[in-house]
This record gives sequence, C-alpha cells and structure tokens, in this order.
Amino acid sequence: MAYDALFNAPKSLAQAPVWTRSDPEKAVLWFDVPIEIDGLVVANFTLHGECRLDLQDQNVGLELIHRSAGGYRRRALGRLDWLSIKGGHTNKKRRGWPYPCPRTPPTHYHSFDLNWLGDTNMRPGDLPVADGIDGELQTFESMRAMAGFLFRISNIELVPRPPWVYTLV
Amino acid sequence: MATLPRLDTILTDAVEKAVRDLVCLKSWGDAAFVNLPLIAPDGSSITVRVKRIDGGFQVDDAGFTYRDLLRAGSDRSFAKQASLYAHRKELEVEGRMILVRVDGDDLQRAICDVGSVSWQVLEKVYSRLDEQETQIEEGLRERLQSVFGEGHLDPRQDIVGLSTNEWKVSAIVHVDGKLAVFQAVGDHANSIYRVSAAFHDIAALPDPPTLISVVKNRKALGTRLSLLAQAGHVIEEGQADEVYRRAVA
Repeated sequence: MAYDALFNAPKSLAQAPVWTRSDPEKAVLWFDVPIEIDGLVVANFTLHGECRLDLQDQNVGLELIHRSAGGYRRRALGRLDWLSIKGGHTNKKRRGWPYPCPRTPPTHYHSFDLNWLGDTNMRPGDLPVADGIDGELQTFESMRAMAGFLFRISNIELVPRPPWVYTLV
Repeated sequence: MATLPRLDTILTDAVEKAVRDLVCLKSWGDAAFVNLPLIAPDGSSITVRVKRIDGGFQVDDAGFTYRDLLRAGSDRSFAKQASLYAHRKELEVEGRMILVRVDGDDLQRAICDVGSVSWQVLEKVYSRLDEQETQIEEGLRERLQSVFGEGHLDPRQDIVGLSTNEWKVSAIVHVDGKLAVFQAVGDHANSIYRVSAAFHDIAALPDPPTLISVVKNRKALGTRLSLLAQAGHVIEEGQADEVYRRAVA
C-alpha cells in the first residue's frame, strides 16, 4: 500500500502494546505494536511509542512508522509529541514548504499531510514540518485519545499508561 | 536642535518575540532541562540536562542526541562523531550520553559546550546523509556520458519496480538493447538500505535491468557492502572505464 493509503485507512492496533525499557539506557521506555487494516495485520507498519521513565506525565511521542521489508528503511508517517521536554518544534521557512507557524508549543503534531510530497515521497528529514494542535491535552489519556483521532486508530485505548514511578522529591 | 532617537517598535517587537523563548528551563524531579537556542536538523531544540552530583553538577544531553540519530537511522555514527566533537570541548561520552562534570562556576560554559557538541554531531551526521549521494551523483552522469556516449544516457531518472513504486535513480543507460541502472550510494546506513530496497524491487521485474551501485570507497561500507552486492554490482566511482563497461555487459 502507498504511504497515503496506509495513513488514511481506518486502523486498529493488532494487540495491546507493552512499554519496554531500552537497554542500556534504562531511562527510555518504548513499544512497537503492529497495525491492522481491514482484518489484515499489515507487514512492517507499526505504532511506535516512546517516553522517559524519569519524566512523568510529559514527553511522550506516538508515531506511525512504516519499515521496508527487512526493516532497513524506517519512514515515519506522522508523530504526535506531547509536552516535549525539548520544547516546541521550529519550522524552517522554505519555498514551497508548508509553514504553519515559526515555532510550535511543546505539544505538537508532525502530520502526514504537512510532510507528504505526493506521488510516493515524504519530505526528507524525518517529518520536518509540525503544527500545534487544537485544545490542551492535559493528561496522558487525552493525548492518547487525540493520537487515536489523528492516526485513525479505533482502539488506541489499548496503549497503557507508561509505568512511570512517582517519587516525592 | 537635539532630537530623541526614534524607537523602532516594529523591530523591537519582532526581535523580542523571536528571542523570548530562545532559552527555556524546566525543572523536573532531580534534574533541570534547558532548551538552548540551537535548532537541530529535525527542527527540535537542543536540550541539555543538569543534575547535582557530589561536589558540583553533571551536565549531559540525556541521550537525546543518540535517540535523534536512531530515528534518522544513523545511530551507528553516534560513538565516532560524539567522541570526536566531545574530545575537542573536553567532554566525555559514556555509553549513549555526552556529558561533563563541573563545579558551579563552570556550569554556564558546560551547558553551552554540551549543547553545542550535541548540535554539531547531529548537523554532521544529517549533512552527510544528503551530501555524499549528491557528490557522487554529480560526477556520475558526466562519467557515464563519457564512457558510453551521450546518446546512451536516458534523460529519465526514475524507474518503476515490481511493487509499482517509482524509484528515483542516478542514471539509466541503454547499451546494446539492454538497460542498466546506476545509483550513487553514500556509506551511511540510510543510503545503503534505500538503494538495497529499490534494487530488490526493480530486480523482481520480469525483465529487470542490470543494477549497479556506485560508491566512493568500498571499504568504508564495512559489512554493508554485502547488502549492496546482494542487490546488484558494486563499483567505485574512480574505477577505469572498462569496469563501467563490464558492469553493464
């Protein structure tokens, strides 16, 4: 399937993802879960989640990824960054590129449409254009629901809260 | 008569707005995260983390540089590039992190140094992703014209594979009724994997063309050379005309 068809299709998660600690960093939590379209678990098409164990209730990224057969080439089709600890995304003003805003808030969306060149290609550089999103996403659950809406994933609630440990400092 | 200098409010408003968020601080748990006025190639802000340690502070990149490279498919470049730039600024690389331990007086400089090294590593690796292929490709079409003659070089630079995906290639050459596809390949993983995927797709056609990867230096590819060789011939850009002719034969 072409990238635009993959992105625009109504989707569901093929199973409940499990947050995994990344070795040897230990600080990074991530998952990759296969995506199902029309009853078919599509090869090399996943929802990728990533956050940090030490940053509770913030800095979560959910991303739709397509990999080539064998996993060699990774192509992100859309990413929602929630309360990124790195702050907002800075767009580059270039001729012919969408320029929704100079700088987004820490919660922002690298949408497929803004990064799709048409034909068969995405803009080079891993989703280089992003925009803010309507409404405030104050909780993990509200962010997750927004990701489900944006990525057209019907059962996004299968993504569990990351196993953040809350400590009194 | 003396006049008061006029305030250019449009200028000051515009600059104030641009400068306001250049540096941001967010404290969380036992760490403080600083967004610096350095924009990484992917559009995110370079961010460093500061933690207290015995006798001072540890300033590090919290592993962000490595994670960004991982997303770009170039995580293998981290160790070499980070060590190179960190060494110049007297910083350390531990595992997947760029860091330095300092006392309070040196904190400002340390934040700037860790941030700038993170930015340099990302800039270096990202620019290599684009440059290598372009450099090889620029000379390649000229070389093919000289080896095979102008009329043999197809003006098209795309070809459809079995998947019906249209692949952009460096050059298509017609020789003795046969078709040959040349593709410039950089020595970084993304370039190699992209060409490998394209060539496998094109090779699956019922009547596939001859597929030739053109690299700068075969040794620089390491074990990835075999990936390219699975998908077609591999030649170095500087090899003799005869090698180019044999490749399409």
